[in-house]
Amino acid sequence: MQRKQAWYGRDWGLQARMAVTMLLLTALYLIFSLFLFSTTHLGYLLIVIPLAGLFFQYMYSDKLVLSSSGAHIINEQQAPELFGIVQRLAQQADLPMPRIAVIDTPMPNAFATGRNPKRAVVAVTSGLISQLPPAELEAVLAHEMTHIRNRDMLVMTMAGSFAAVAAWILQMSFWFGMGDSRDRRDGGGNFAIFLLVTLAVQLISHMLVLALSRYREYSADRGGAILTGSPEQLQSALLRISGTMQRIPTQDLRQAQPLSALFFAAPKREVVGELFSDHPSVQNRIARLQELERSLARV
Amino acid sequence: MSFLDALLGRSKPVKPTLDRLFGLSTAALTLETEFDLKSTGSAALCFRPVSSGEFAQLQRDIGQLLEASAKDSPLDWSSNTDSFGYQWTVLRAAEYENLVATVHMVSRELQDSGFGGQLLAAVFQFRSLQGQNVYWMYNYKRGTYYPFVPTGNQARDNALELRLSSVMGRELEVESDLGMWYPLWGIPLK
Repeated sequence: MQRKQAWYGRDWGLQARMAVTMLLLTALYLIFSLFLFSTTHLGYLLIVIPLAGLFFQYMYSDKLVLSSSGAHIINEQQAPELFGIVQRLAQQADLPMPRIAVIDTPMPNAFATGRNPKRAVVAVTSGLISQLPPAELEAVLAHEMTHIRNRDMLVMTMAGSFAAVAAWILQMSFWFGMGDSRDRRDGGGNFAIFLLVTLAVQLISHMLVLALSRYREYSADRGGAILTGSPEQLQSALLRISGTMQRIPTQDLRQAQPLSALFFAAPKREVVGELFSDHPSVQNRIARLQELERSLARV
Repeated sequence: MSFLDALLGRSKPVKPTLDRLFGLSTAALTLETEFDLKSTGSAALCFRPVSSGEFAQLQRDIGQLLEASAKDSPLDWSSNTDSFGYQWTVLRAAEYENLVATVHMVSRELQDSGFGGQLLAAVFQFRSLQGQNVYWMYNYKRGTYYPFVPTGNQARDNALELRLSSVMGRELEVESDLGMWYPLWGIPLK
């Protein structure tokens, strides 16, 4: 009996871009550490302290995120349908059942957090539950389950550490002045170079992290659509959510902004465009999903 | 899932394990002698349909396959969709071996057409002397079985399930992670 290929192919382009972005980040980080070790004698300290901070962020960010978003964990009796949908998705994705949290806001959105699949939490807003039909709700939840499966929380914390280290050093240099005071005249020029390099590293790594975040979103869209087998439901959910979001007052959106990296859809549309956003535009996400749908028709 | 897969965010649906499905055909005897559990002759496959013409064609093919095998030995089958949008292929056969083989055949057909990732679970129904339904659930993703004894509204008899799993663990690939003993409420088997 001939064995057919699975209906979804592989998105080599997306994986290549993700790999290149991560390679660039690693290279940048290595060059930066070399630079640090050669220009200051504080190299170790400069890396250890922010990394320790990141470790704590990694360990506790799920609790922080949940409490700062006002999400409360619910049990099965409170939302049996929601639990039913998530439970089947978890089984389908071979994941342990995540905890489920609800945020009381009419703005439809969802996010996943937790440092590993066993501690994962999927949070949805009450607006998402009330405004989306079950099939679209499932599509959004499948997207979040794919985030958990891809360990995006871990990957993005790791990637973010590059930018965070540079930012921390930049801050420290402004506070204390990095150059040694024993040789002010010579040290002054070095200090300026040092600041410039750190600033450049921070900027570039920030852009790379944003790019990586967008790629992870595409990845989660794709994985979610494959999990449910219906890319069109996710497209429809994206359109519905983005349509609603444009009607929501700005104050609410600004409140949600710090959390946006974890959210299903970016709450605010950036004027500068996608380059400075951690979420791809809805049009681009839909275009990708349609590509996947075409591969479905070609099987 | 490998480290690289996580790094590149390319988690794929887990390929189903099909061969262990046959494990249940011998286990049925033990279930009857040890627990007085008899097969009702009913089983079902639960899978997530894909919205494509190809998949619709596949379902017609499966229908024809089932009709063909019904000619050789008595077999009833029906298909329905539940409230979650999952599809159930319900099978009923006089011969237990035939029932297991048919579940395997349908799963194999889905797998060979490239839709193996859509398979959620296979369910085999047993009944105690008191008329209590006991299900053996097959998890395709892990190739493991676990018992499911629903006792009314979203409640299950965990004690019996644990007893079943410890005894059957000797001859059946029983799921060791209790967190993976996912229930399926409202199984469409009579």
